This record gives sequence, structure tokens and C-alpha cells, in this order.
Amino acid sequence: MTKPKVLIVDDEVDFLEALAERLSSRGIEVHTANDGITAVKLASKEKFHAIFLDFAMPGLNGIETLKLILSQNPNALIYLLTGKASLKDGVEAIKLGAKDVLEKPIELNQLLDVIERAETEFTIQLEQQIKESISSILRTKGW
Amino acid sequence: MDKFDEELLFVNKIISGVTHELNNIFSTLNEIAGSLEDYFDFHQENSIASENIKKKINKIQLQIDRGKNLIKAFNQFSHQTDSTSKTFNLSDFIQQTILLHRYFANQKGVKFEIDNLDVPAYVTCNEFQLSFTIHKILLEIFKYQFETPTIEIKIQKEGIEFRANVSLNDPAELEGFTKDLNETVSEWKIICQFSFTNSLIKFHIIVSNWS
Repeated sequence: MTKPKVLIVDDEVDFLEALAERLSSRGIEVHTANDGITAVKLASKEKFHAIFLDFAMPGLNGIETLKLILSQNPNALIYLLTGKASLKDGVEAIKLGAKDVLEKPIELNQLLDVIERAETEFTIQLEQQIKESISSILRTKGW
Repeated sequence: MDKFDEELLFVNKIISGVTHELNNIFSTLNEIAGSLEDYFDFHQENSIASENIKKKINKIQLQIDRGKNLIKAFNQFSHQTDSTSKTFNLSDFIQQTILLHRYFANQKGVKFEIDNLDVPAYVTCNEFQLSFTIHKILLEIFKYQFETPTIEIKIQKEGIEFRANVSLNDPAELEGFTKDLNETVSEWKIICQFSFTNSLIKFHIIVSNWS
């Protein structure tokens, strides 16, 4: 069984390092980025079970990063992590395709639950894609 | 907007900015304290020195919790004037608020059935306060386990008031749901009532449509 793989994006380096360390020690493969552009590049190269984006970042903010990642991969499971979001921001994020908006600081157990659920959803998505590919191949073969 | 409101809005914006920065600091401290605690948990250090350090970490975490509570209070305050007595469509608003509760609803397997929310229902009130009230009510509901959970939501106009009715379809599981929450926030004229019958729970959010 493969490790859950997540990407966490936050401009607070110390927060990012400490959170990554805690998740890694619980068997999660954690990738980090300090800004939106790096996050978009990483997300285009690798598939993650879940991506956690800080809302307020210099340069690309959480919403802009969310849009760019989803434009590359509409199935990406993205969560906004924030200490400041207003109702309007939260609604906008979810309408754009975020899975959820989580309040920062988040309890570690809550975050682990989210990762577990994202991993399950990711697997279901993958199985669905495989089924569709097989069906498509079978159809072209006339079966 | 009068001068006092403008000043309050200005103060709230400053508090909101400062709160955001404080929240970043406390979030970082929270994770660092958690990392230290992990170190002792994973390495099974049992010396007196490590016990003392663990006690100190617990104290740091208690202070972080105090800071977090303070931030919550500041956040609540700074969002108060986000939309002072603004006119908006209650139907859209409830749909948006419910959208934000998908996380909790998914956890509980709760489905929402929304009836007649396509009809615009314009109300004038404090948006933040209303959202907070609905949020509190939904969280109360989510505390309970339901066999076949569906929450039905309807909006009706009664006189000058709009009434949002919410009912749950599984009364069997509601034993012990005796909390009687009546909250009146007279400043914004939002009255939140929980009423209970043998067969269902209802709540009414009455938004006085005054300016």
C-alpha cells in the first residue's frame, strides 16, 4: 500500500516545516511549497492525494493558485487552509472547486481525517478512470 | 454609513489584519509545540528531564489555546461590520451557507433538501450575524446521529418577516435533544428559536425586514 501523498502550500516557512514533520512522522509523504507558483509547478509534475493551500499568500493567493491547479487537473482534491477567510471567500473557493475550507490552526487529527478521506476519494477517482479507459478500449475493439 | 460606523469599520479592518498575523504566529507555535510533543511520544523518553520538558510543552500549549480563543473573539468582532444591515437574498444566502457546511454534512452523511429557495426573499440584516446563527444551529444538529438523515429547508414570507423552517426527518434518534436555545440579538433583530415536537425539530430564523 502506498503512502498518502500531500502538498502543503504556505508562506509561513516555520509553520510549514513543523506541520510537514508531524505528518511525515505519521507515515504521510509531504511535499511543501512556499508560494503559489511553486505549488502549480509541483502539481503539474506529480499527483497528490490532497493539496492544502493557504488563503492569504504574497504573489498568487490561495484562490488564484486553486484556479491554476484545477485548470491543469480538474480532479485535484484541494483544501483551503486559512485563519481569516470570510464567508464570501469560502463560498467562492468551494464554487471554484475546492473540496473544503479548513480553519487554521487545524487540529492534527482533523487534518489526518481529511487526508484519509481524500485518499479514498482519490482511489475511487482512479478506479473510475481505469474503468472508463478499459471500456473505451473495449468499445474501439468492437466488444 | 455615519461617521461612527466608518470609524468602527476602520478599527475592525485593523483588528482583522492584526488578528490574521497573530493567528499565523499561534498556528506556527501550535505546530512546533506539537512537533516537540511528538518527539517525546515517538522516542519514549522517560527520564525526569523529559517529563519536565513535556510539562513545559503542555504549558506552552495551554497558552497557545488562550491565544487561539482570543483570536476567535477578535475575528468575531472584526467581522461584525462586514455587512452592517445589508440587503441580500435570503434564499441565496442559505444555499451558500449550506454549501460551506458540506464538510460536516459529509461526515454525518446528512443530505439537505431545499424547497422553494429559488424564490428571491430579500431581507435587510447583519449578514455575519445571520450566518453565525445558521452555522450554530447546523452544528447543533450535526452533533446527533441520524439513521436516515435529511434536513429539509423552506423559506416562507409571513407579514414583514421571512421565516426559514428547517425540519429533520428522523425523530427516533432525537431522544435527549432537549437543548432549548433561544437567542435574541435585538441589535440586529434576529431571533433564533429551537422548538421541539414529538415528530420533528423546527427552527425559525426570523429576520425583521426593517432598515
